[in-house]
Amino acid sequence: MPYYRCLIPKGSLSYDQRSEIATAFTDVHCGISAAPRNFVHVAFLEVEKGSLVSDTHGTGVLEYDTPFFIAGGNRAGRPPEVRAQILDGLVNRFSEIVSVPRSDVSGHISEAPASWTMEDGEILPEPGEEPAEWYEHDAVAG
Amino acid sequence: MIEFQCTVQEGYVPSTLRNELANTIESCCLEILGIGQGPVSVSWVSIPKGFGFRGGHPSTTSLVRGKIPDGCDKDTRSKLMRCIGDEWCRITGTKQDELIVSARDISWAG
Repeated sequence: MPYYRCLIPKGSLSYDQRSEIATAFTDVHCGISAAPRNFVHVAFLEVEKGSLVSDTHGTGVLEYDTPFFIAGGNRAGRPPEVRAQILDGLVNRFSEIVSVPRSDVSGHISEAPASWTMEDGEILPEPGEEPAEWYEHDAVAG
Repeated sequence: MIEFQCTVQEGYVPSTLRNELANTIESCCLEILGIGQGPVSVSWVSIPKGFGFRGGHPSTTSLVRGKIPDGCDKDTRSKLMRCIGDEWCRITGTKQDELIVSARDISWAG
C-alpha cells in the first residue's frame, strides 16, 4: 500500500510514459504522506471503453466516464482533505505526462484500515505511527 | 463466502503453481477462520511486463487481496495473513518483501 491502478485505453501509453507516471505518483504520494517510496505500487491496466473496475479497498465496482481513470487504495486514517490533495496531485501529473486535458482523467481513492494489510512480512502501521525502521525500505530498490 | 484475488507480475510466479497456491489459500482460510466461513474462491490477474511499478521501478511484487466475513478480530486476521504469506513464499520461493497480503471485511465500503 498505497496501490494505484491506472485504467488506460489499449496502446495509449508508451513504457516511458508509464514509468514516468509511476515515478510521479510516487513523488506525489510520498511528498504528501511521507510514506516510504518503496511502498508505492502503480499498475497500468489496458481496458475497453466503458469498463468497470473492482474496488481493491471497498465493495463493488468503480464507474468512470473519462478515457483515463486512477483507482487508488490507501491506508485509512488521513483527513479527507489529504486524500483529495493526493488524488488531485495524481490527476494533474498524469494529464501533464500524457499531454491530455485534465478533464480526460478522473480517479477515486478508497481506504482500508492499515491492520488489514501485511507488507514485507509486517502488519502495516496506522498513518503517523510508522516506526523509523520503515524508512529503511527506501534503500531497497524494486 | 471468502474471495481472494492474486495479482502477479508476469514472469515471476509460474502459472503451474497457481492451483497449489489457491489450495493453500483455501486451507489457511478454513483452518483459521473456520470451515463454516467458506467457500473460498481464488482468481488471478497477471500484470504484463512494463505495466507494474514499485517505488517508480519495475515491480516483482505479488498482491494477494482477500475479502473475508465481517467481524474478524485483529489477531485472527493477522494470523490468516501470515499463514498465507508464509505459504506463498514457501511455494514460490519469493521473499516476504515481494508480497502484499490483505484481508478486508467483505462489506467494507472503502
